Amino acid sequence: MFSVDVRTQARGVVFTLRGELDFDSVVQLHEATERELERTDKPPVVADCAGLAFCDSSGIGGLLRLYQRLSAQGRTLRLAAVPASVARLFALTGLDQLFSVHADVDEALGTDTAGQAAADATDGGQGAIDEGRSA
Amino acid sequence: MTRVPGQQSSGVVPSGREGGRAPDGPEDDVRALFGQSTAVFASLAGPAHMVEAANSAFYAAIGGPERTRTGVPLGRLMPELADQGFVALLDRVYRTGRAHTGRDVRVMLGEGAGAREAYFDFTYEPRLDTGGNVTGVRVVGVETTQVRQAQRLTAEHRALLEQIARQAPLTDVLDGMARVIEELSPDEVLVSVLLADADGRHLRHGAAPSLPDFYNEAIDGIATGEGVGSCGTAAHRRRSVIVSDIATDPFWDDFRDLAERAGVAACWSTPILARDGSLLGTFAMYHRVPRAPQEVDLALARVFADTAALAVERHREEQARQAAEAREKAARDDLAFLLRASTALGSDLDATQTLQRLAALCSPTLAPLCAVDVVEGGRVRRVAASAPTGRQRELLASHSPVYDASDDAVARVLASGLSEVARRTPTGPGPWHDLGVTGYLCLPLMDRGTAFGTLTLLSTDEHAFDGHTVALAEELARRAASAARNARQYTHRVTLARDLQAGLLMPELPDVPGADVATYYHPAGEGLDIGGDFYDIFPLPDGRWAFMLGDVCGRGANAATTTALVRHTARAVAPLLPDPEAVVQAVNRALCNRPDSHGSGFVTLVYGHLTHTPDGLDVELIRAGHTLPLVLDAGHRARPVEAVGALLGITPDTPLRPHRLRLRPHESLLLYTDGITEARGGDGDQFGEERLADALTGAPRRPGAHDVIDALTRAVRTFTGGHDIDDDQAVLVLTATGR
Repeated sequence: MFSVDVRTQARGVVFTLRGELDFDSVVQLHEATERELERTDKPPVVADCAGLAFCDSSGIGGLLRLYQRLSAQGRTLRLAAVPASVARLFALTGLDQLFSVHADVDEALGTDTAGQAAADATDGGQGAIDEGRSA
Repeated sequence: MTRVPGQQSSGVVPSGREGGRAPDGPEDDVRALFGQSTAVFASLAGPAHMVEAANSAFYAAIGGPERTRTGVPLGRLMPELADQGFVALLDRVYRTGRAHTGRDVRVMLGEGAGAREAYFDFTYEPRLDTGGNVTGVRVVGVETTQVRQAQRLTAEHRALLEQIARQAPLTDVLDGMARVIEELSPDEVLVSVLLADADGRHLRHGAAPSLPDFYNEAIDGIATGEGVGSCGTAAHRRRSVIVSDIATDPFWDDFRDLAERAGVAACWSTPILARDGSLLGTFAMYHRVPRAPQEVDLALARVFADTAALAVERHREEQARQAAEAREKAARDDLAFLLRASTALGSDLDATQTLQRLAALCSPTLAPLCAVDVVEGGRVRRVAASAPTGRQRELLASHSPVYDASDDAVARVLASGLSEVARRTPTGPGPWHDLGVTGYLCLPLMDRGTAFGTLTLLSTDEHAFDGHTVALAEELARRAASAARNARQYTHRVTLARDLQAGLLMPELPDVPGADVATYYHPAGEGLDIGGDFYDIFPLPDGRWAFMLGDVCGRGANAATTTALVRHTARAVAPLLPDPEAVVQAVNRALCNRPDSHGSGFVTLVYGHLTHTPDGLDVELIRAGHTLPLVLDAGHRARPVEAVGALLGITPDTPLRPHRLRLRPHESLLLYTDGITEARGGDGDQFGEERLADALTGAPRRPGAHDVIDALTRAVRTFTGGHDIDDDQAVLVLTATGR
């Protein structure tokens, strides 16, 4: 079971992911992505992963796609509250270098400079291969 | 109706008719039919009952002019009375002076051939002189014969109407009607009812119980028209036609001989008309002697013609209703047949089986023999045949239509895309004689405007194709063509997927010097769903070998093209590039440069080169985002290889770090995809890395690569309990052989 809940807040859009993101459910993430890209304004996106129980390679592909599509629009994707098992997967696939990961949504939604500082603190200043990251 | 012999133009004629006034309608008919009874009166004198005086009605009733005498004893005037007991009655009245009244008493009047039956209400009264002595008997009576006959006629008529109401068969009703009229008529009359056919142009035999068969057969089917006897003319004119003398009337010129042989000399015909005026038939009364009808006869004819009209109309309505019901039932049956057939045809995913089912559905329901042919590779192949016996089926199945021959129905239908039906043996060679073929129907099976096959139905013996069967067969052929087309497309796709998959996998593992190689591959999907896991091993020009195992994020045909891209790029560039890092970078660039398809282009991968040395295998590998490879030492301890690298396809020039290791003899390098560690057990747990490591300890001492695979896969299967797996599983094991 999987669900994507998209809510627009003052400082950005929050994608709340719940359940298992896999081959069968990733289509829901694709649909949410497509809808999000139709906006005329370009706020940053935060993926709230607190309720994400499982993520496999299809799920990885879905998140990467979201990341790339937002980058193409000059928008940022940040992850928040990633559970340990999923964090391990991100480490294994090297995505922890790509995504900026935050402790919670609030932190992730911080102003760009604050978000940058928080991300820097989290990933040990290794920097991220994040093309969409512009102040 | 009570015509007195010898009195043709007088007799019992109702009052008011003397002027020959035309009838006004049904009321007059009734009056004409029922007639009017008259009072008879006679005054008898003395013990011998001498007829002193009597009215003309009396004389008319007892027998006419020869008996119109006075001064004769009644017993002598009417000898027939004595035997019937009336003289004795008169004696008694005379003797006792008491009157006698009789009601509806039957008396036979006249003698011999002229005798007739009559009924009277009468009174014998004593005549008294002034002194009160009986001088004679007065006879006063009213003839009730007509009333009786009227009552009988009514009863018969009602019986006929009841028959009609009950929907008795038309022939029975008409036959009964004819007999009633023949019986009720005092003279011999022969009734004939003819029925018009639908277009009103011909008259057919309806009922004629007393006319000879040869006569009825001869006039069955005569045309309606001016001058065609009485009936033909009456039908044509829609008005009664009276021929009093057949011998002289021009209408009977063509039928005079026939009439003479049948012994009829006069024919009065009345048309039977429906309420809307259309012709239903004719009603004719024949006589053995030339005769003109009286009013009474014409009235009778009109009444019974109306009754006949009622009978015929009811009959036609009933037939129309039955025909409509039959049509509706046939339509319902057709629909049910088509629904069953469609279900049967659509239930198969194999085109050939679908067409075989089609043949089974058509024969014997639509025709005794059925064959289905399809075009394959420029030739016609018979894929299905159905027949009542095995031998016939063999004969039919073994006949091959020729694709191009113009004298072959199948070839023609394939070329034109049009159905062909004929009521003769098909042209061209074939087992027609042996099978007893008497006709055929050949229908195309269409796919987007082109015939890809044909359905041929063959008749034998009495079987023939009517419009209804052809329509049903055409509908069935359409549905079968559609089902077969879908089945073929599915089969094509499955074959395509299988071919793709086969191209993605290695049929055989090569012999790698110094290494024992084993693989395991289990895709999650079936048929159309092909996997995104892949592996490869190939030689490099300098004696080294390249190996890889990877996982595309996703499944299906899109994933398949990505795996093809990775493998082929690696194989193409590896001989040209110095090391694994360069190869993987090249693969990454190829992935990033691909035009943006809506599939996923992200790949996790372990790619490496191995070199055979006297001490074992030297391995240099790159891990790009993939699960950690494991090194299994001789003591079955599994150690993860902590190589660093992100998955491929995100950006060109991704940071990669090669990792070097050495496998000593009997040590193994194990690569696997996450379908293994993410496999779910009975209670939803994942297999996980710990169980993976544990499973490897179950391998035998100094395991070969296959032993390692077996140990792992056995453990995974036990864990999942035989449930369907959710994700593809692939494992590659390289074991240093130490040789």
